[in-house]
Amino acid sequence: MANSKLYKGSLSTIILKLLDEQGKMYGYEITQKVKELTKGELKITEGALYPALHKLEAEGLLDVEVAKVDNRLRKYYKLTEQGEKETVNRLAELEEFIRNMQQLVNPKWNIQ
Amino acid sequence: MKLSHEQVDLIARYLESKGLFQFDIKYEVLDHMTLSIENAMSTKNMKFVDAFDEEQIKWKEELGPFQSWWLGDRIKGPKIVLVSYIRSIKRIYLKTLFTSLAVFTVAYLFLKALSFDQASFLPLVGVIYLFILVSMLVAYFGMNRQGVKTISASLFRYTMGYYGIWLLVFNPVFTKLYWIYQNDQFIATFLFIHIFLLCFSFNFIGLFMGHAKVLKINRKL
Repeated sequence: MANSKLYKGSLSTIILKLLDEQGKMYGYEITQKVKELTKGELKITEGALYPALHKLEAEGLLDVEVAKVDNRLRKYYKLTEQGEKETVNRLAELEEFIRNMQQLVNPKWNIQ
Repeated sequence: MKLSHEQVDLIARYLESKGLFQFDIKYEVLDHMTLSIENAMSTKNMKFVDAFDEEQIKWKEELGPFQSWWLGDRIKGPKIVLVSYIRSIKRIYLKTLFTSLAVFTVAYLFLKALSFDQASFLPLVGVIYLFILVSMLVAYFGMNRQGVKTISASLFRYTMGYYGIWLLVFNPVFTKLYWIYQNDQFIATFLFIHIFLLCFSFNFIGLFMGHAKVLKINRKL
């Protein structure tokens, strides 16, 4: 991950946001989508992704669905009802964080 | 470009050579690696062998050996599996501790208020412990017979050993430890220990159900 320490705390929020938009996704799809949206700037490593996904699943924020594709199994993740509520909370928190950082670091920045 | 059945099998055997036998994590990693290799072969025009080598480097840390004091020296394996164990074990112990404290507080005050003789309960506690031990052994052999390894089954086996020993050590049917000390402090300590052990037993139901859930997924293959 580019500047991994800056992004580390936001990974679960990124995952929740993507699943909120896309409905259901599998692990590899999530890494590719993030890479596509950030034009290759942000690459989620396998070591960061799967522990985050499993933790969110254990917390009850994600549900899983397993499908057979090309003679192997694929695990899809989707938000639970609790996950949908938590996504809203975390996005609001992240927005607040960005605003505060903007004030602290450079009030001239304007993040739309 | 889709990989052949033999190529996917090769990846699966590689994962097993790294100690990744637990079906619930293995199929997810296998799918990810397969897709990543297929992508590398299509977009970078790589041969399977080179793409597979590249993928192995990406997964080196997650599939590399790992140890933690949470699991002791006995448990070794790939990081991705052990991190999953540690997360589950922490959750199990913390949940049990908080539940036990809550139940202990209520039980202690209740028994004190009624001036109940706890010693009269002990034979029943001893029988319950024996029932739990037998049930755990039946569940353990049942899970083993199915031949599918899962995170839940591994955790069940790992935790059962230590828990079984505590059930025997503190079983009032076998030990007369309780009878030696009759002061309030020791009675409270033993009451907490019994409540903790009883609360802990419920985790095995969760682990057994977790294993059963993965078995259902395995049948899709």
